[in-house]
Amino acid sequence: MLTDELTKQLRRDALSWETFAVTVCSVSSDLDHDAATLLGGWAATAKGPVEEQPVEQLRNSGLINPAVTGESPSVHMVVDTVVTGTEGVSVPVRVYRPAAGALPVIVYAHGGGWTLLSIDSADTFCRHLANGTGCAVVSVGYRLAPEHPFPAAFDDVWAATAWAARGGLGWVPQRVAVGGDSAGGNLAAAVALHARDTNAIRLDLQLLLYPATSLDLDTPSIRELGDDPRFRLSAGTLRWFWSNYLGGDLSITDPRAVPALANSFAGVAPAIIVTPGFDPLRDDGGRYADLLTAAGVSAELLVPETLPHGFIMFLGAVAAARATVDHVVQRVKALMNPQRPAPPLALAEEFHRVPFGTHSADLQMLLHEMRSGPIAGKPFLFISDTNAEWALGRFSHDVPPVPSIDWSTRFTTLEDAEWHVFKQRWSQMFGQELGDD
Amino acid sequence: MTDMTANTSDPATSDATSSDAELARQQRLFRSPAVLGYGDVRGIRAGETITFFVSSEADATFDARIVRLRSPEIGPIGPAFKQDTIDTPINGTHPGRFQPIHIGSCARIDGPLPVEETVRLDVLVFATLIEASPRTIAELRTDSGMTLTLRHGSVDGLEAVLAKADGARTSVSLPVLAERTWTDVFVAIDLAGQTLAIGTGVLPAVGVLDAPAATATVSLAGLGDGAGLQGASLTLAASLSDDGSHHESATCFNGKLERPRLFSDTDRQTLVAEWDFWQGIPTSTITDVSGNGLDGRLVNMPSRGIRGARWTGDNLTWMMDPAGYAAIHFHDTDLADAGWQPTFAYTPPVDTPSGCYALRVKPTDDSTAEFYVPFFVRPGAGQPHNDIAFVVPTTTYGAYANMHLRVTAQFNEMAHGRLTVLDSTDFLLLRMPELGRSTYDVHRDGSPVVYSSMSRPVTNFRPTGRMYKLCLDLMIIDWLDALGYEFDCVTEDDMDTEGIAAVQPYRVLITGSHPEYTTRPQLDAYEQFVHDGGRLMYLGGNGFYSAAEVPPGHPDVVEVRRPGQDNLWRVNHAEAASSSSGLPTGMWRNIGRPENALTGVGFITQGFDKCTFYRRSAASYDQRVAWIFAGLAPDEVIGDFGILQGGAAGYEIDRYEVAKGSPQHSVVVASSSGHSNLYDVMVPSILDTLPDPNRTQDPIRADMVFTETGNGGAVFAVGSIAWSGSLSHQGYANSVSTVTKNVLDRFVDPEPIPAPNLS
Repeated sequence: MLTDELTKQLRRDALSWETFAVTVCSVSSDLDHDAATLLGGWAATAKGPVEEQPVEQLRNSGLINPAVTGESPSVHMVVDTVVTGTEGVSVPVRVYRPAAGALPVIVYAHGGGWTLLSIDSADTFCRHLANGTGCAVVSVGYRLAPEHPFPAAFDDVWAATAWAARGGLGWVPQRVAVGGDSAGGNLAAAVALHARDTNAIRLDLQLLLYPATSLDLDTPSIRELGDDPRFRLSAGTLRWFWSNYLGGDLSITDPRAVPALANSFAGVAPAIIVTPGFDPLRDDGGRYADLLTAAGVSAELLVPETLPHGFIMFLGAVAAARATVDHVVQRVKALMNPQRPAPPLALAEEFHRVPFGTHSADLQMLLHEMRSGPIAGKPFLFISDTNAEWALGRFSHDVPPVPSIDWSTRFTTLEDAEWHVFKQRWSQMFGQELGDD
Repeated sequence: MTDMTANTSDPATSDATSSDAELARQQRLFRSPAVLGYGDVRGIRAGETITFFVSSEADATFDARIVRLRSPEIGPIGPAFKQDTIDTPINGTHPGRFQPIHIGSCARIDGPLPVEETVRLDVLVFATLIEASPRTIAELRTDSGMTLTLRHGSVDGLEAVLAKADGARTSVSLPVLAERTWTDVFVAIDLAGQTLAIGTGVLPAVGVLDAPAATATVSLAGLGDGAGLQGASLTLAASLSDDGSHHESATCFNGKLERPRLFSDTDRQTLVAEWDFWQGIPTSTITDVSGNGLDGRLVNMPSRGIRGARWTGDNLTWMMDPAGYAAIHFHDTDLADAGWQPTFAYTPPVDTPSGCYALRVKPTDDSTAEFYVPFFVRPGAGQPHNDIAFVVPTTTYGAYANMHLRVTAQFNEMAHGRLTVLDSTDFLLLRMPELGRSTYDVHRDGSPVVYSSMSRPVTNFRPTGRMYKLCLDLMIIDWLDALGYEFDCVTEDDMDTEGIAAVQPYRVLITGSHPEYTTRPQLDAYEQFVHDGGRLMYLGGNGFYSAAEVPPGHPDVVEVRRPGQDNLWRVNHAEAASSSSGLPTGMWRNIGRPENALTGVGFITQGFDKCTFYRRSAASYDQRVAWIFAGLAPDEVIGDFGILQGGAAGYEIDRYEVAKGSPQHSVVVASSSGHSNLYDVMVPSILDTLPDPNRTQDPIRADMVFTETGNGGAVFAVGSIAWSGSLSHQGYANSVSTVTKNVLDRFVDPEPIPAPNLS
């Protein structure tokens, strides 16, 4: 589990690199053991720097290995479709719906240096993102460089975001987020800026996972980690990726390509920025958080200190990656499902006193709302063979739902069970923890 | 695309302190029963035979025994679980055999069809669920193993596929059909002319299309060389397995078909067969009206008596409208018979005591819980019978069989005001969708399930699990046993086959806790029984509420339709006529036979959160009825205890209402009050339950009612399911037990119960 110790929210006024380096780089942690094993193995068999290999060979190198990416959880519904982009181009998208009906939506752009990877490489993560946040996720198969240089990828992600925001999923979402990892983080940040500039889409969140926002390839983290062969993200590799995307012209200053170069960051969507400790792009993302914060934009910086770049694709091989993703997902969920103010505690007290029977009108309405949720994710009680003990169970998001039992949460009275679930639901709905008295 | 991967089902084991034994116990609890079974009947006379069908997961060896069930398994809050092992030849270890269930309906015409080189099939199609996986509309299979399949899916559209036994194949397709739109479809193959063609045309709102609007033809390019159509059979709405032994569930069509016509030429000059689905609606036969006698048979009872392409709205019953109801609605979730091979049979000796028995099976290695197949034994032919009969509500058991609603309905927890409590036998419904659904469920296309069969493993017909139905009925049986009454068990199935003769020998009939569904023969028998001076003790709630029908030739199936009800499973008024009989379905009160007329009370509402108790009415002190309360203190409340949420009044409750058909002269001897406001919410129609005009009483209540019926007979009703759960309180010495005993003792006394002086 990630603790608050590991989660650093940095809100600083000073923007100098040196200050930044002092604050963030003073990490003493080691690279996560699972990650070290995984990356070490890859480094041992690497065929030289990424930029020295043919693009086609890189694309065919079979990066999607379930042992690394982890089990792919079922989602209520997954649909592949296309969105019409700029000049009529068809943009493939994969839509993950964790439940039926209208949901908030996250448009997601995968990583890969604008050059590599696909919807499929982000599939496992998007499933976790959808199930964990309760949001629909639209994963975008944007056009890749160098065949399709800037602004192709940007245009495609923008088109998918506009499509989702205006109801292309069958409903107009109340809240819309854009997100991505690495190059996808760049695209998400760019879409967020453009949404502000054009006022065309109201975005509620940008989720930037180790993004590439700037062409500055001389950051402390690149100096520190860029030449470590395990991370395969040297200044040279980064320059090659950028060059692919920008059609060879590294002097481009369009903030849709290089978000950190925007004139102003005021008024862009709130951000969650995740910069792993062992990531050459760590300081790029960190500085982008500072830029947003300085402009008065809420930017929550999460620093999983022991993890490397690309960790969201290692959920099967790296336990800490899974824990971090769970935490990120919870933060996204909280921001995409803003909580209502809690009702008077008297309602909780009333329920605790009388779980069964006549309830006040307000409590009855609240109970109906709590109890009428979809079967996906719903709790139930599993009765033991003694008929005198109940364990807490929960249905999955599958169709038909798959039951699972939490044997560590058991009750000897149904009243206790009702109270336990009531407290859980109260916390989820109102963000307020109830005590037992 | 619906994602259905990763259905793993290992228990989460987050309790690190669990011992290995505890972990093993948890895993066993979580596993669903691995040995399942069903019987061919629910009730037999001693000396008659019941046949059992058993399937064992992975062919595992299993243990079987016959037990007599005397009480339900309810844990420490009630009487001990009493199941007496009966010494039978079945008892012991048996080699196991896995038997699959092929769910989903289809129609099969075995042929051979008189076609040689050319065949054309025309059929009206109304697809109700279009998915990526193609579903078969029709499949022709020749004796050489060649198949011609007309199928439909959202990816490949409408497609005709010709496949030869050697794997060679060709196909032709048209775009996806519009959902829920009648479309005229044909497929034609001409082996001599080497063509395969399909065509579609959307029907005008009413009428039949002359020519298809879209056609597609492909050359067989030699594929048809040397092939013929000899020995062809036809399957509608599914493809068969390779060996032709059964239909493949995954190919079952969801939607309606109407008027399939088969020609032996491509331009429809020579009719081979035409099936008119209006004919024989109550049966599982489809009739060829061409004169060629190519009748077919339906598998797993698709819905009949439903609206077709030519329905006009001028009639509301298929009996009056041969054109309007000439369609059959197929579903991949229809299931009338699991179709297993018999495993063994049991014939109780002719002097076997009447009662509730069960086959109990479980894996020999004890890796999962046991599974019960209950059945009821009546006295053998020529054997003496008792004066008291417990009438087992087998029709209601059937209507609720394998009810998914309680497990997966979104509103279940809200409607019950409690978390849903489940066990691994309940999980069978999720883990084995092939067990089929109940009349409380809908098919995958949203249409209501109208037939529910007992010829399949039934997860909620058992002495364990939720305290409802059989479990509560066993509480009544347990009470009768405990107080030393001699009684017989007669099933409602017996009343269907024998009518009044099944219950005529008895002086007192005692109902179950929830005899909700009643067929016409049953209702006729009950009414005649009390009219003839019999005594009826209605110890339940929400009884005699809805009409059920039994399809001819399917005594194991219950047909239930719910016209005009505001729930998920309602049928359109146009489909309210039973396909079994053509007669009206729905609530008996809407067919002019309200339950109030028989029992004195009628269903009012339900709530499953908290039960309450009865207080005597002023009228109950009249000597006409005061004997009911003999032995109680004058102002003693009745039933403020019980295993069902602490009271005898609740779950589903009925009240006395003259306006609804309760007899004028009935006496309300006691009523409940103070039900939770969940009961208010669950009132089916608020206008139905306006308070009494004089507003002296809580409108949400259970009424305990006594009614003399003339000829020395009487009816006693408690109007509450929860009554049964209070009988055993304090070692059966309690007010509910006393009242029940007082009534039963008076009812079993042959002395006529005088009609009241109503001057």
